[in-house]
Amino acid sequence: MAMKAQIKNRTVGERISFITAWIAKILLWLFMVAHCLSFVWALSWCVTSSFKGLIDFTLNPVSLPETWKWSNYKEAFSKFSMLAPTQDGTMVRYGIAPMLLYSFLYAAGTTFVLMVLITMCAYVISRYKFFGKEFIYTLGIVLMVIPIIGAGPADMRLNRLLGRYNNLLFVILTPSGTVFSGYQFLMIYSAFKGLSSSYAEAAEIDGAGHWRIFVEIMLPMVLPTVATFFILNFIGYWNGYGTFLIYLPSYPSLSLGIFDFESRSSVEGVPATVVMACYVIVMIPTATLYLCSQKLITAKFIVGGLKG
Amino acid sequence: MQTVTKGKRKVSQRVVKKYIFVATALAYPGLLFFVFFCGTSFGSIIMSFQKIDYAGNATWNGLENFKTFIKFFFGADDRVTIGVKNALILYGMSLIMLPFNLLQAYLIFKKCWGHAVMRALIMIPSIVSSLLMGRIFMKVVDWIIPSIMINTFGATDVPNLLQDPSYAFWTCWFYGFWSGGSGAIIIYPNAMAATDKEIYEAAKIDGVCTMWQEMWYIILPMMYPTLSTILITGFAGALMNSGSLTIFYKYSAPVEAYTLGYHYFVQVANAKSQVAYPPLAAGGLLLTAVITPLTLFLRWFLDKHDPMEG
Repeated sequence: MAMKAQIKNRTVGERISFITAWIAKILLWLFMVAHCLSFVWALSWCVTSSFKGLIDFTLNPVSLPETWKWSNYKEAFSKFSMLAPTQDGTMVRYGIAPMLLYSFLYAAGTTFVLMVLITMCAYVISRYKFFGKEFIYTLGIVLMVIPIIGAGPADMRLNRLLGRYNNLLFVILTPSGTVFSGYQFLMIYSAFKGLSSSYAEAAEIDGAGHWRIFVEIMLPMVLPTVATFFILNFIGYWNGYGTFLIYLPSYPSLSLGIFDFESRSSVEGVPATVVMACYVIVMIPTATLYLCSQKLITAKFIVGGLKG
Repeated sequence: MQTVTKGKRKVSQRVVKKYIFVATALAYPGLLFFVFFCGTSFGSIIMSFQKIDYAGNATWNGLENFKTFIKFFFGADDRVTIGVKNALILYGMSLIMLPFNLLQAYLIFKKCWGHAVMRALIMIPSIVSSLLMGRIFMKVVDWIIPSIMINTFGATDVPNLLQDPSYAFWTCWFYGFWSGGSGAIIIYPNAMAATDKEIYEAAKIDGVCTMWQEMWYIILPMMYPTLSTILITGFAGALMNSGSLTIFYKYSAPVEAYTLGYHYFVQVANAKSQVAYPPLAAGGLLLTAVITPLTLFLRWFLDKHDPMEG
């Protein structure tokens, strides 16, 4: 009815444009629903499969479990492990607890250090006038654009030379070489830039120092943006395996553990369903964190321009 | 007179304190930049002229590493040529899919039925981790697809889409498309919402009423900075990222599926010694020298065609 009213009094060309737009909208919507449902299905399939016996899974990979095998989780907790070298090269088997600890230390530590550095940099560059400020900002933009290809070998060599290789604390304390570049920096920079100066000026008249103005007045006002990136970084670092694979061989994380465990599972006779139970165990912390902060994350995710 | 001097001293003290604060805030990021960014980039340049033996000793090697890389690039090592070709195909595909992604974003922006749930669900691959999502996808390819093909369609010979070299690259692309929808459904709608609502209302009065018109006359021009950012950084990203290959294959992807970023990842992560590093560093330097002007040209081109500045 509404569509009919909108089509009325239009030229043929406008009517065609209107109808094609409606058809496209319906098709797109159906595609998006199917796309989203495919994720739900994939996760549900993983969870239900983690309760199956191996024969049930092999014969009926799509259906629900014939009998719900909770013992898969018991087996997952006892068998999920990773063989990794210690600092002196001896191979040691790590269970869930140390992997969980390394994942948490790395994710929380790196995220905290990175966010402190990005926030401080963004605040100073957006709110203060000083020599070289424009240069730093432009450099950050240029670094986002220019691809530095093939620096991996030199990076690895530098890491070994400085003692950063296989040193968790060092890796946590040196999260990035370019904290004044990238989307996160630009977002927090824009958030600080958009704040009114009157609060800081009033505090300055009252005798507040630069640190106090930053920590007690300006930072709380951009906290939602900073918190969003904190959560996203935490999830990203928690799920990441590349750094552990290349730079931290003696500190196996849960993500890397899954990689290793799955490749050994067929040799060690661990059923695919138990491996899937391990998937579920690993995804629980980040899924919980996301569920608690989903609105904040989806509302803040936006990318701006790159004009230097 | 005394008051003026006191005032001046106060001002200069404030200026000094300001500079101390600025210096404190920037000192550590600056140090990290010099050590890890400049150090790595400079080290990469030096390494491309060196030869490293099994003991790790480096000697001057002139332009030999560049010659080796060029020899690899033009046929001696398929992985480099295929890696560059596949990276460019991936970038091309992202351009082809862009209008489709924008239309999806439009529906979310217009708050279509179920938009909030869709936004929450589309983040699943990023939250659950690309590794786990990739491994689940792998299991679907290994177990579900053959099961459906055999039981429902009566197929007798079902190829493994991830292991068969003829399908591997496009299966990986499909996985990237499937799992990477958060850009379309999270970033773009927020950029669309950043446009002043009055502009939409004014355009409506001027006769802009269908989805196509709104996209063409309002959304695309207003979102241009966001889109050009994604196009520029996407170009660099396509050449440097290893994508989903590490998730599916770790170090042993079929050569047909290689991307340049993955080739470098395998060479660095899998190297038993540093002997193989210098030709890779030389290759990286050459490729950076070729790709950087192209990226800057792309940026210049996109800036020049910014509809808001025309």
